[in-house]
Amino acid sequence: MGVEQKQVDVVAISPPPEEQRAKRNAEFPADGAKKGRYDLPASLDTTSPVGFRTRLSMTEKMAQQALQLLALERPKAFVKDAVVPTEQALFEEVSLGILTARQSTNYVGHKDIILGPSDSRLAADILRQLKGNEAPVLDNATHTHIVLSRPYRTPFTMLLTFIGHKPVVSLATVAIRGLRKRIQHVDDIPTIGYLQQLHIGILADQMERAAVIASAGRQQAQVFMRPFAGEHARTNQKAMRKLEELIGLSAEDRVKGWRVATVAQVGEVATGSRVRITANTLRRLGANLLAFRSERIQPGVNQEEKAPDAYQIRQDMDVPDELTVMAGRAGYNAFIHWTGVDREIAKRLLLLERIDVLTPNGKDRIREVRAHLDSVTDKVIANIPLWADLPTGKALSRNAARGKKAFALAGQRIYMGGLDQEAIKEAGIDWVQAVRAFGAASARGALVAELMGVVDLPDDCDLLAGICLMAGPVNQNDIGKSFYGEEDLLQSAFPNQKPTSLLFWTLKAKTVADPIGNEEQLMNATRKGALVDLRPGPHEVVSLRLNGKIQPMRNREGRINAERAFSDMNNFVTDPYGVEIPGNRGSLWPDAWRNEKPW
Amino acid sequence: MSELPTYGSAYAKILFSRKKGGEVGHIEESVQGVRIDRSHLRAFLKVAGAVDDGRMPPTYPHVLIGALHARLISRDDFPHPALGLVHVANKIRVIEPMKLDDSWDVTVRIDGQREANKGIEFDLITEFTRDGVLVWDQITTVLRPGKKLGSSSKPSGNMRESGVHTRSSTIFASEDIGRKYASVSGDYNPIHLHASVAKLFGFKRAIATGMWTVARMAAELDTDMPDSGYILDVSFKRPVFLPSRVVFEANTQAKQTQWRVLSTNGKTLHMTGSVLSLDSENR
Repeated sequence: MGVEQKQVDVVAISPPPEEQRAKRNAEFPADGAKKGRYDLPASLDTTSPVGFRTRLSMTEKMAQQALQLLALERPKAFVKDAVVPTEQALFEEVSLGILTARQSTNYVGHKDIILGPSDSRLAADILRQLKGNEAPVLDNATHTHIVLSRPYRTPFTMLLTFIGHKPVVSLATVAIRGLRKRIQHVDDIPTIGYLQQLHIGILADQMERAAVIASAGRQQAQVFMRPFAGEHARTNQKAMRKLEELIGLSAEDRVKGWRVATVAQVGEVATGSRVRITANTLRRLGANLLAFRSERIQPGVNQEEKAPDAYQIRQDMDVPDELTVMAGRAGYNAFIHWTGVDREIAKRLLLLERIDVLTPNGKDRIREVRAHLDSVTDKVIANIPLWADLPTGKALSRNAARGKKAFALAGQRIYMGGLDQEAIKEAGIDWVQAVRAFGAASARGALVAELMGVVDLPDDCDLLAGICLMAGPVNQNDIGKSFYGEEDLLQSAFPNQKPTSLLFWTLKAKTVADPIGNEEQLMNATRKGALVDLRPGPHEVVSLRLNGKIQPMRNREGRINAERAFSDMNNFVTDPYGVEIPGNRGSLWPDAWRNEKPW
Repeated sequence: MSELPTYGSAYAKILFSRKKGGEVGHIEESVQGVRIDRSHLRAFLKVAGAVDDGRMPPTYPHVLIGALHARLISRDDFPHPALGLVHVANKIRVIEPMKLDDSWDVTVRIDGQREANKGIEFDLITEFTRDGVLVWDQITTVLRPGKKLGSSSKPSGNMRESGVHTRSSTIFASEDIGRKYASVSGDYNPIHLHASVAKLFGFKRAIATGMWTVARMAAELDTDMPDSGYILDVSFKRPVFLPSRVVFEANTQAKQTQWRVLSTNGKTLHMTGSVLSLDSENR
């Protein structure tokens, strides 16, 4: 897998004229007033390292340095007898990895068990027994992440159980499908299963960057994903069991569907091989990565009527073509990195349809897509079994109807992406690995837009560009394909292939960040969105293997993490007068514990 | 005394005495050679969420000689009934570093009382000396609720403060924290133990022990607290009902900290506090 990646370059985005610039400027609700999604929350109660964060401006020079991480090559070797990272460094690494690597659909479907140096040696021995490693297994890892994953299940997937049944027999078929899903982990529609794989790819890609950023450039990660995907996972079962035994995966966990998905060896690289990024840039980048999130609202296009003025103004901004080229370059970098195919083959395999919403053709196409998705929603609602819908006060059909709003597509550039299973097979790539690589490619491409959105960010703007990665419209299309004989959304653009669409990207140039209520859905249990999960704290999804025992991270002596990662960069949301949200800044983990070396 | 008293006899007197109030004069108790039991300290650290980093937690001396406090206020010449006394403020001065294997002579005393807005107040003064040198002292201000002299109102509206903090996090006071703290402090005041018992004393639920809250917040401040040469001053405003989550906000600049504890909806101020250098007292 020695395919070279291409350097990604900065494409600055011009801010709009000053009179068009607007910031979110959310305020606390007045005493006695009802809180809405545009108001700041009264306080934040979370163990997540994220909190409500703002984007930090980066100079063009800083951004160019940071972009090296979007063409990061694998480490060749780790330095012998390197110093084990402190607990604090591990916390920052997982904060940029498993605790944030997914976008808005932040389901708790991953777990990370970190092994120390001696266990890493055992893990390395097991890794060498695996077939399909993307790169050599390295010696001298200071620590190793064993990432587990399980099938994607949320209230949305529960709703899917009721879709696509025939009248009368639905009484039996709903139950059968529900049981198959629970016991055999069979998905209702294929793209729901692919979500799990997309997320694994996104996480694996982010773990490579996280190791560099958290160690101030001292360390790198050697991440293995392919041995645990598709056919390789079947042939590697015996060795995978050994890994599972090492991390104490129980039979009960296996029944729930937990399996090893990715392994990342992390170690110190020789001075001459390190990525040349200044420590200050890395910390700023780390803080920004915690602030980046899905941007769904295009001011003046898909805002609510009740939205504040800042969202009502249509801004004369556009996503530069050159930026989409660089986003594509980063995406191809990721795809070739994770599949090992040549760049030209990658360009052929990644099926992308671009919709320029500002052009007449683009407008027509987006209308066509919307109409298709709405028609699927209508069919879903019409076919939901009444015996299930009526007793729940039509909760099922009402939730299904929400899709029309949730899957609304807005942005100046919209891309639909997917893969052709036959073409992937012909290229000699395992389908599951290809889907994972597609996830990695999509997230890495998105990161270009997010990073360019903070280059020379003026004080009167929250951002200059944002992106939303959406699987919802694809899932809706897949419902149409699976149950109502519809064709794939990418079929018209690729008439001679058999595409499976996997994701939508909606790129936006704008200065106003999405309503803070969207972020609150990820952090406040009482305001949790129907389709999302809460951002986890380290103790919920990360464990350390210490003296043979698996210990949850940052759950110690009755204390649970309240620290926000990279809090020294001070990018916390305040009201327009500088008042902080109580509880948002967090509190540093005790010095004595954070400075400890766990092994 | 050369040994710390136990709570047993003090509790018996507190529960069965029929004091009716009056004027307290100077009363005093003392004990020599007080030492730390490391296992007891570890238990305290766990309840307070503090790190075992070899430093003396600033409120631990208060716990160490809690029985001496109980003995003092259970004496016949202390005229007020102990049940119903309200701890309203606490000021600790950590004057010199206190090594965990040192021993100290301890004096607790009350020097009279005064009329306050909501009744009668007195100060319980505690002093730890080592070789005759004062290393730690504390003024525990206690209220015996009675006739109100002035009007006082519960702060209303939102308590948000302008500016930024160095720490701002949510802290969980569990339903059993009163019982856990009692097991290390010996303070088995029924209002801290269980909702059903607290109701008998007019509270809707059990309330967190004020000094647990101080210990927990001091633990949260971690190394923002100096080793010595500082004053930890707190004022208790409204009780923290159990269980509940509260927001802790602190601002530390040049080793001086202002902090407070408020409800998660920002409408109730439970406690304010500060950590100031001893020099600031002399200015």
